Amino acid sequence: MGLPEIIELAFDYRGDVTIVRTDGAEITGYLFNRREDASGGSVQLFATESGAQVSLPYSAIAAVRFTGRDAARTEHFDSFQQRRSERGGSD
Amino acid sequence: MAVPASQAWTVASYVLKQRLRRRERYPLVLMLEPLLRCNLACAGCGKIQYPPHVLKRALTVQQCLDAVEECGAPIVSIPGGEPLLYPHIGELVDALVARKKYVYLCTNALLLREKLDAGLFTPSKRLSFSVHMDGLREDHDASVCRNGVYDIAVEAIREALRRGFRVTTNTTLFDSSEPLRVREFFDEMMDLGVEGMMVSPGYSYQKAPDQESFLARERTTALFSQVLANKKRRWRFNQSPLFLQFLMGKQAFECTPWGNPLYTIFGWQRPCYLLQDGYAPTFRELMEETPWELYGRDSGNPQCRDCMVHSGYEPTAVHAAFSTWSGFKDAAAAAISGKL
Repeated sequence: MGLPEIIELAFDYRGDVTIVRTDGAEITGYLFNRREDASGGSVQLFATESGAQVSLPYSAIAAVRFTGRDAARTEHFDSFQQRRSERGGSD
Repeated sequence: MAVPASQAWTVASYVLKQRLRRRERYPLVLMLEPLLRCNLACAGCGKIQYPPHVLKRALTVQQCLDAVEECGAPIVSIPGGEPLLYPHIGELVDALVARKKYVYLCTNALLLREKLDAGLFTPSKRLSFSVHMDGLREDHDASVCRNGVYDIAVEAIREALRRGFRVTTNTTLFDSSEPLRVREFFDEMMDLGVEGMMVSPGYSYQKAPDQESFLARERTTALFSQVLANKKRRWRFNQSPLFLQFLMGKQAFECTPWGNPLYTIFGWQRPCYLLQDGYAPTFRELMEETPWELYGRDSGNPQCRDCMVHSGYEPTAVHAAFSTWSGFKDAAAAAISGKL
């Protein structure tokens, strides 16, 4: 899988990712945007620790790791339904 | 009429101006989300599933006002997240009203009574609380995954009305919705005294916890045909009758994804309120650089195939009423007769 495909997965992911830069440095945050353009493309993320908005060109990215919990994989609905049925409709 | 005459006139004159300027694409309602945090976690909602540090973020009031200025739409809807969790919500609403915008503050009403008691808002013809109500008590509490929410919302609605505020309701229908219960719910909301109701099928958010209750298009038209058949005259809807006819399968519309653009902490969402294909830094870039031909039912985009949500089709309905003779005729007939 190439870098653009991995970035697409990271963009769709509702958890934090850790980006390993080509210079070896790492940054962890929520990747909320990506855009490909003539210069090759870039990503935007909100850094977890500092809260800063960071922009990185694809050319500066060596790897992307999915390090945070996926917030979209929630048990809330299932547990509510189960609780509700166990208590005969009362929460 | 469910909308005050001044608001109807503002919208009508705005749309006619766009037509005279021959603008092919223009926004009608700005969806402004100052934060994504919510105090509920509804089964059919895919808008709040983010890491905690993202949910803690919020736009500044100035960022909100800049977006409003940039967009230029006459109506600003403030959904979320729960906008009453936004610490500057009173200041934001005051600023929007001062700019002569019509504001719909979409809320689950859990905090509404508290905010009213705190004197955060002033009644205005330009401010309406749009309270999330998905049905009768049991149906609504199941929809929001918490018992007791319906009763809190009803009490808050009563209090807001007592204080002279405009109050509307917004309702999302799902596959489990029962037509007779929905009709009973409409009666209940009218008895409560709300100004009007808004209703829409749910969008099949990929990130929503419950993936089994979203409506396919045929099921949507069948459900709304049953719900709105022999529409009672006392039911007032705060939306275009042509949109309701579309939900019943009586109008054939294409989506207008730019009609209700969304501005959030991430920027201007492409292409619409529901799909997240990326973010533009400016409204101009959103409008000019989004490949609109890739969206809408006619595009064949599978994500748009079953969508009949108000954010994409209500602007189409409003545009149709002002741009086609048949649209004008149908809208006028519905307004006069009260029938759909």
